[in-house]
Amino acid sequence: MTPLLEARGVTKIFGGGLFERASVLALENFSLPIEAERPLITAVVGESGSGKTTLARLLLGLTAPTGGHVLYQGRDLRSMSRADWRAFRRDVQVIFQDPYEVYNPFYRVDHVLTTPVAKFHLAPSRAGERALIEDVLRAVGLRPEETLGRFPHQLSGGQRQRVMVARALLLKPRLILADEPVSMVDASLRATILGSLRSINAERGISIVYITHDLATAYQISDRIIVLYRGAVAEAGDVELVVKQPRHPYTQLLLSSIPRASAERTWLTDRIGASAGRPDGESAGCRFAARCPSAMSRCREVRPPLFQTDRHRVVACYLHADAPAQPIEAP
Amino acid sequence: MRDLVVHYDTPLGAVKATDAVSFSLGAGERLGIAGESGSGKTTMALAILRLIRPPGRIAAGEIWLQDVDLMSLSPEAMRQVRLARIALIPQGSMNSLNPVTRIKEQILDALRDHDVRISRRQGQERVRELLESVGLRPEVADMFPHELSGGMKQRACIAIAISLRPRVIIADEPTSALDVVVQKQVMETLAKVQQDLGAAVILIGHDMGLMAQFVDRLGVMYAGKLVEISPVRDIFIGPLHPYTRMLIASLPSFEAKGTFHGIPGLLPLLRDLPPGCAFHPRCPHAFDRCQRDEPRPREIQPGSWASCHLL
Repeated sequence: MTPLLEARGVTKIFGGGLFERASVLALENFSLPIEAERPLITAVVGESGSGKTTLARLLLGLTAPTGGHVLYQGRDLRSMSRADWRAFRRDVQVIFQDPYEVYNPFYRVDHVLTTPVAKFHLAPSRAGERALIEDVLRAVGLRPEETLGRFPHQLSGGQRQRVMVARALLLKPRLILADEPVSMVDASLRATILGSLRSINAERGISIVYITHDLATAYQISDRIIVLYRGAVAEAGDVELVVKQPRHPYTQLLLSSIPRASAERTWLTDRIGASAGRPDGESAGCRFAARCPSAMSRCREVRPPLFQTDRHRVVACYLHADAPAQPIEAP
Repeated sequence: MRDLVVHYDTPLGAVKATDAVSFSLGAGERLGIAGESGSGKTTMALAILRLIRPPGRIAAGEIWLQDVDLMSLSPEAMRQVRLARIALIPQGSMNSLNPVTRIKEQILDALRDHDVRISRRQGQERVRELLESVGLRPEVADMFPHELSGGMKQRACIAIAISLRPRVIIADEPTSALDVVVQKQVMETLAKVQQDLGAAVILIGHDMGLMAQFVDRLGVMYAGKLVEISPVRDIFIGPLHPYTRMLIASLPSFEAKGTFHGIPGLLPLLRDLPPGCAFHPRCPHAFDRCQRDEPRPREIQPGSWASCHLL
């Protein structure tokens, strides 16, 4: 089957023009198929500068790749017709980080819900519109009578973000891309929003790409996970494997850096082998080599390919070079 | 701190941002104050330094530093206490460094402002020592903030904060904008300088993981009140207040999937608090008394205080 949306060998380089100081490799040779037949929650995890926001923009067609292709139902986003784009904008919905900035403060929250209904002719009548809106609000755990008719400032950040999830659902999308949807929401409300993403996936069969810096929430809601480091995949695969038995030194560093909310105290006493210093500039080798406690000479010379260490996991690290390497897509 | 009350005056009446908060802080102790946004934790921290600005005001309460009543000090005497006795690392402080001044000048400014008279040579030496104590190379002294990474800037802020050897360091979300790997480094630095100085630390934040791993004792704030304060180990083994218990249950763990639950309902508005216990509309154990009487803090077990009618 043709994937609903696919990144195939995508590279994005910023700058490097005649008057630019230096070019920045934001994402390198990234591939990810999202199949609508098997709706999964895919987490993309990375720190600042990992390329995760660039990836979101590429998948939405907001920026064009420097190399490789982003394909919607097999068609390159760069050469799609208006009709294809119209279908794309129904099938692929997005939820952004900031639930405060997406609202016009002068309109009631109803406005963000009625606009897509009108634009995409989703309901034949006023009553139909109301029923549709109430259905999606309930799907995200909001009571329509307590939500509709209010102004954005009368709702909490968590409620506003759930209205955005409801808005995404209106169009019956096949994929929702959520870029840090809970990073500005209080801890006690995060679980509720993430729980509604889970149930949307399970009950409505919608694929979700969850982009975050937070490995703990990624573990909680996703089926598979991609760990990005400075524009390249460090490790990817089944979330249980990656989180419980991380193989890449960077994944191991990330997991051991997270302070755990438990009575066991080892965080400040544990020494981490990897250094947290500023990484070097561009190099031909592994991008993590400068900080890696196990770096070997070839790590600094040639980029490691993705080695398939388990049936459901790949690791970009020469420590696992005995596993078969995944073929690299021709650029 | 005894029964601190901070009001924000609004056209609709006074809002109690911090209400009757009391605690003590031992020398060299690390105390955490956790709470969600709007719980009053930053207001409480600013009140210790008497940095509440209108329309806010300290309406009642006492704050003592050893045997000095901070509320009775003149503004000039209070200014001398700041930095010299109690240092604040404010939220987002790494972005408050002066972009056009070298790091060493910003450190020396703090010393000069507190009338420390030192020669140029001594000044350079002091800057070098301070940078070394936070794990920064001596060359950083001559750099500008934009030449430093986020973690380095935050460590430079710690260097400024400890420049006058304070007895108390208040750190308000010192790592909230940093990546986890860098966060760990900065907190290691803070732990080290605190031990070197023998200073106490008040860590303000919402990250319960950071609290669990860093502080000795943890206070939990809800709607302007300190609802529980206990040794941190006890809080994570057996939280007393239902809010604390539900807050811990809302945290995503790595141990088991699908075991985290949000707290139903919403944070109350401070200008429109429910009667009785402010948490009762969200509390699964609330009974009629909770809607009527406001619970007072009581010592439930040695060293553990909570405000709840169930206990």
